[in-house]
Amino acid sequence: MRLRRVRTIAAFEFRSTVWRWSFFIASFGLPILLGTVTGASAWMQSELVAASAGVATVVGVVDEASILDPHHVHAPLVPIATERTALDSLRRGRVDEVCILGPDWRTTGAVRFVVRDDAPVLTRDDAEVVAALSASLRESLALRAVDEATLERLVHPIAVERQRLTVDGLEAESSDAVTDAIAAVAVPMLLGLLLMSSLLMASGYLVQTIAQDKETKIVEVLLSSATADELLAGKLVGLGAAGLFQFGIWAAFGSAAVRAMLVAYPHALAHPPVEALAFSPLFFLLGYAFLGSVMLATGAFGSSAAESQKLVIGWVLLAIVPLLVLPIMLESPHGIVARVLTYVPFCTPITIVVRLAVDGPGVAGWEVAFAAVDLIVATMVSIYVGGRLFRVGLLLTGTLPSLRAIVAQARSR
Amino acid sequence: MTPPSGDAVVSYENVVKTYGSHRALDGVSLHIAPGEVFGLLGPNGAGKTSLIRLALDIVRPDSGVVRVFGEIPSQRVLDRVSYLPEERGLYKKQRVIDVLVYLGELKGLSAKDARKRSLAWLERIGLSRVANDRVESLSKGMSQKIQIAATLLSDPPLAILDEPFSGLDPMNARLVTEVISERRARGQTTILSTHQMDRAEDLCDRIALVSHGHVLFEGSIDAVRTAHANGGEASSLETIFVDTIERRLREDEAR
Repeated sequence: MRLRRVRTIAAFEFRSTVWRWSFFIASFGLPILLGTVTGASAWMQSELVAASAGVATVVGVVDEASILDPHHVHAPLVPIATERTALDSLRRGRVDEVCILGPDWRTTGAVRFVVRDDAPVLTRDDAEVVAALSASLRESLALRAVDEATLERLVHPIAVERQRLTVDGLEAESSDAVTDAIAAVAVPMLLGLLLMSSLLMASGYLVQTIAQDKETKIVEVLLSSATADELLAGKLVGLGAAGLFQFGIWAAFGSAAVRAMLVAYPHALAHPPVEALAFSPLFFLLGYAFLGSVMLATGAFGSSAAESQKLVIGWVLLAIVPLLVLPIMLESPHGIVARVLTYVPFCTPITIVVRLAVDGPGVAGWEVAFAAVDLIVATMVSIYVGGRLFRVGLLLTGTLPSLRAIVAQARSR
Repeated sequence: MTPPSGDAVVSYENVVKTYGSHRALDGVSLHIAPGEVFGLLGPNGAGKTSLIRLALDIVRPDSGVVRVFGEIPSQRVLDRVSYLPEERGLYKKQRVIDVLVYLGELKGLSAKDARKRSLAWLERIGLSRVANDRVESLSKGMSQKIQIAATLLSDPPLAILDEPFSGLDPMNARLVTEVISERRARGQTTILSTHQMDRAEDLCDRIALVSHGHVLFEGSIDAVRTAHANGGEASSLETIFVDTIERRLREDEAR
């Protein structure tokens, strides 16, 4: 194999792929669109929440039952002496709402809530006011029977502190359990999706380019200047570089989104998936080399882009199996399903990266090494067999011959 | 006169090639001399493309030997050979100059040299103005000329041109005829596969008629016309072609 030819083919394929509108749109437009939609949705939700929260920022409370202790009245409640003063304040806009505990509150529990006539109906949410008033009343009542310290325990009986028993002893666990749970699911899922999209996109470029060579009838000119192996290698390298470039762009957008998220939620990524991030580029390259060579060899048998796409659909389905069983892998990253898929070459890249993202320290070093070696061996076999099929497929026109005829031609040349 | 096989630029010795159950070439022997324009004639499906693909190492013979410049075809040898296939095309979305430079580099030229030669060829074929245009914007004739330029860009000692005149108007056909004649004058070999007998008659030093995987005759135009003279009057190449093929078909049917 002549490396100079491979380099020439790779450079041409890289340039002609990257200088396409479709590549530009997929690389930059897609993440920008996703970011814009997600950002706009988040902004609208926060605006709605702020709008509804702003409906009753100050609430006047009139205590005709003389229950409330002034030191235990919680925001947004503000004590007001009489109903008349309170209603006057409401009319003037000094308060947004008024609640009145009647003199018989102790026996009836009745509380009147008064809002202005122009108060919104749909976005009004009294839950915060009710909670604040309930807490204020409970504490004020309890204070008559117990001291302040006991009252504090009565109000806040539990101060949670979570720990994990690790090999190094007891370690504090993040108190933000919800964020941790979301991160545990979202990070592996996003990494898996990113890797799968990049792999399939790059392999798709391969199928597209080989179909184009056949459709434009330039393939015989190419084969009179370079061997099928050189063509296969050049296309793999050139389009792999384009795919890696796109992977880098998406990763940069992803990283910017994560940084923005961390500003809003500083504890959202308490345990960044360091191992998964470190091994992602390696498994992208290995996965691409394997999947790409298989797709090139198969796609070469199509007489058009549409036919080539149909021929490779089976490989695509195999490659997305890890995402189909993602819930199982999230639940049990070292279970039998995850371990088996780790060594099935079509599934290896996504499976190992997802496993590393779910529980990096739990994946043994030898497992990662073995997965990489497994993928390298599979790629070598696929390039050897694929190279022969690729040449037969390239020269093929008309209807698809039988499998026996293809094998015979691949052997005889 | 048939050149000795040792001097031949391309030689086929008793070559057999089958595809599945179809025998495309059945013991073909043929020798193409340096510096000649050799016409490869024959009806569709005769085995011409198989002969070309064997010389280009795209396929290999089941038996027999093919030599190019005295060697079994390898990529090193094939850097001295250029090919214009009958079914041809270019990358439609690419700029003309980029495609020419790419195909030149694939033939071993440096990027700089490939660009320089591409611009010179575009000048020669009167298409300098479209250098930066996309291939898809070219007319069929323009695209045809660009492909001929791409084939001859590396100034190959051996060029194999399959139907180079198809789609060309008389002016451009004359340009291609000139280019092929110039190659002969420089001692470069050209194999011309064509159905246009008048072109073959005008341009070729020698021809071979291939049919059903066999070489029916081979020799100089004059020798072929003399051998097939009808009552002392030399027939045209087209008449010889049609008569020979029809006789062959009759013989096959009789068997």
